[in-house]
Amino acid sequence: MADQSDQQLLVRIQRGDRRAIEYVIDRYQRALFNFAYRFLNDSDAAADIVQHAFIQLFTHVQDLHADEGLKPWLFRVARHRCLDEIRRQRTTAFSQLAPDDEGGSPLDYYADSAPLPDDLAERDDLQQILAEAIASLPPKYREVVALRYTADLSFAEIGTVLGIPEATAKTQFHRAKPLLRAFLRAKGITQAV
Amino acid sequence: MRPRDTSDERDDVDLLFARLHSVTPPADLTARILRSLPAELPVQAFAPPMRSARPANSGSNIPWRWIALGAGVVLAIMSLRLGGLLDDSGASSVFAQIFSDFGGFLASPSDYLSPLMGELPWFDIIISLTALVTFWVSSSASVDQARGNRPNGRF
Repeated sequence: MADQSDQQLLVRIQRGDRRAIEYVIDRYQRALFNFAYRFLNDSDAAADIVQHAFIQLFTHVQDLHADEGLKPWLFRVARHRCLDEIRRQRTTAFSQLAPDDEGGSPLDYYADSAPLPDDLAERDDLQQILAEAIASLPPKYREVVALRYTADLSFAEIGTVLGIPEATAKTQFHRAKPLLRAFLRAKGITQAV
Repeated sequence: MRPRDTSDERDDVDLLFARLHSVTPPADLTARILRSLPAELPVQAFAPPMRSARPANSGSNIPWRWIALGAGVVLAIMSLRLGGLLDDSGASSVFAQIFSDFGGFLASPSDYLSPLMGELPWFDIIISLTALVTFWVSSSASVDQARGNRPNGRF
C-alpha cells in the first residue's frame, strides 16, 4: 500500500480502511509537523495542529474531491490552524517587522554588519538561527517560506494551499528573501554563492 | 530541504536554508492521531468512487434491491407454475400419499419415489430453487447495503 497514490489511499479511507489511514499519516506527518513547527516555533502546538489536520481529513473524507489533492488540503488545514494560533497568541514579533504605511522598512530593523568568515559547519546555533529567521517574518511571508523550505512544496502547490496564483506565491517568496538575508547577516550568517 | 522548482537558481538564502534540518515529530504522534479518530469513520459502504479514480472490482454498484425484486417475481411465477405442473402430473397426489402414509414410505421408499422421479418437472424445480436462493442472497445484500449508506454515530 505504500506505493499507492494519494487518490487510491483516499478511496480506501472512504471505505473505512484504517491501514490506509496509517499510510497517509506516515506519508505526511513529518512535512506537516515541520511546516507547523517552523511557522509557530512551538513543538507542542505543531503536534496539535498535525493531529487536528488529520482528524479533519478523516472526518470529512467523504467530502474530498479527486481533483483537490490530499497534500494541499492537509497543508491548507494546518495553515489555517497556524494562523488561528497566531491570532490567539497575539505575538508582537511580526508586528515589529510588518511593513507599515509610514515608510518604515523591516530591513531597517537589522543592522547591516559585515559578514564574518564563519565556517558554517561549526555553528551550533545555525539551526536555531534559521528557525528564528523564519519565525521573524510577517505571517504572509512566513507561511510561504515555511511551505517552501520545510514542506518542500512547489510554488504551484503553495499557491493551491494558500489560494493564490502560483506567480503570487513566487513573488511573496522572493520578497521574503531580503528579510531573511538581512536577519541572517545580522546574526553573522552568510553563505557564499 | 531543496525546493522542487529547479527553474529558479538557488541563491545564498536557498543554500543556507538547504541546511535546515527536518525536525522529527514526537514519536507518539501517529498513535495520538489514531487514538483520537472515531471508532467508526464516516464511511459509506458503497461510497461513490472519486471522480478520476474508479476502483476495480469494487462490487459496490450492484443493484441488489432490483435483483431481489426480480428474483421474487420469478419465484412467485414459478411457484404458481410448479404447483400446476405437479398437479397435472399427479406428483402432488404422490406427495400427499407420502405424508399420509409416512410409515409405509419409510418401509418402502422406492414404491413412492420411482413414480415421482419420472413425473417431477425438474427444470422448473431448478429454476424455482435458483430464484429462491437469488432472492435470499440479494435481499440480505440489499439490507447490508442500506445499512452501509446510513450515517454512522457521532465522531
